[in-house]
Amino acid sequence: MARHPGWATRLFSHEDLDLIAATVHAAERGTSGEIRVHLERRIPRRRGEPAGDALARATHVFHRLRMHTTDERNAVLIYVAVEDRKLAIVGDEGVHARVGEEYWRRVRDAMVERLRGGRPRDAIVHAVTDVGLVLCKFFPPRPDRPNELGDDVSIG
Amino acid sequence: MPSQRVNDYAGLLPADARGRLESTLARRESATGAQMVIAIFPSLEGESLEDFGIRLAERWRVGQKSLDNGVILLVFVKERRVRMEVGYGLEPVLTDAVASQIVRETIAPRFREQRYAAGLEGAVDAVFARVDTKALSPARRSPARGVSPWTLAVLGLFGFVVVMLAIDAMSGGRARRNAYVAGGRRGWDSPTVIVPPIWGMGGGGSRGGGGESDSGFSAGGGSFGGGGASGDW
Repeated sequence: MARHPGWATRLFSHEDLDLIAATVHAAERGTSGEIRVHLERRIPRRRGEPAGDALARATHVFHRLRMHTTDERNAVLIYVAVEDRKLAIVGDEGVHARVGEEYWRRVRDAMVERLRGGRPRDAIVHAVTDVGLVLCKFFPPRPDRPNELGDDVSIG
Repeated sequence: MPSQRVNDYAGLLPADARGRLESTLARRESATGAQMVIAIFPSLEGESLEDFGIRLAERWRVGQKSLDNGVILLVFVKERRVRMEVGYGLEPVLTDAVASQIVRETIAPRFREQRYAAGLEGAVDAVFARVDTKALSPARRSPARGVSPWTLAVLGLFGFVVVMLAIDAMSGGRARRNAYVAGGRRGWDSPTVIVPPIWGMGGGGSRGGGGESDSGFSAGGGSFGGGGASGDW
């Protein structure tokens, strides 16, 4: 089992992280879409400045993780800045064109609610599952394009 | 509609019990319009995981009409966790508290005694008891199209998926495994119950404070045509 940094494991146990990875893996089995969970300690900023916008940061991470390179532009990133207590969900244009703005808000709201309720693992697992189901619906699996990106929670 | 309502990939249930559950579910389904599907997995890893994803996808396509009312119950066999997820449409009747209670008081005790079929049968009864008494009237109300009330009741209804999963390596417990085999006290005692709707294409997902709703997709990736939302907690 991979070791994860302390700031991450204060919110998610190793077991949680494995469960999340497994959920991602499972969710992706039914779709050509990709899901990624990225945890960050804090949104990078200059000393003393308040945390920036999670969505902008998530979009940056989305590109950095090369999630915009999927064939059908159907990757979704769930981003959590643990110590800033901020999160964002970002979907590429293929997904966005189908689900629309309201969908992201709803997933976001559901995550926020669970995080506030002290259930961070459930927040992520449900978001992943929800997104996975949506991806299954719009992007059936393509045997010619197996898992384009990794499943593990990316931490950095 | 899934080909079967009870999908026992783990071989946990004896054939007759499985058949019994299957017909109970079918009967309940035609009586109430509510659908309940059970899936049992031996392990989250490897092949079973494939099944999991594939089945999940199947359910998704299959159940589209009634997504609002879907329920998923996950049971992690080796971890001994049971997890129920309820769609928005069913939330009024199967609240977090109710689902949690079903898992804690109906499923867990019987699973601890390795009476899996009994646990599942009990869960079916408990779920449908809620559905029978309370679910139909509100469900009937919502889609007010020109269809007969009966059709509406059947239509706006329920999916129910029970997934039993086993994770072993993950939960890191040789001790656990032994305890499990020995029927030790470690079994099924932490029924993690989570009920929130994961399928909610409909029913307002946001209640109360949802962080900042700067949901407009801005900044970042230049010509990026995707979308997203952010918030804090």
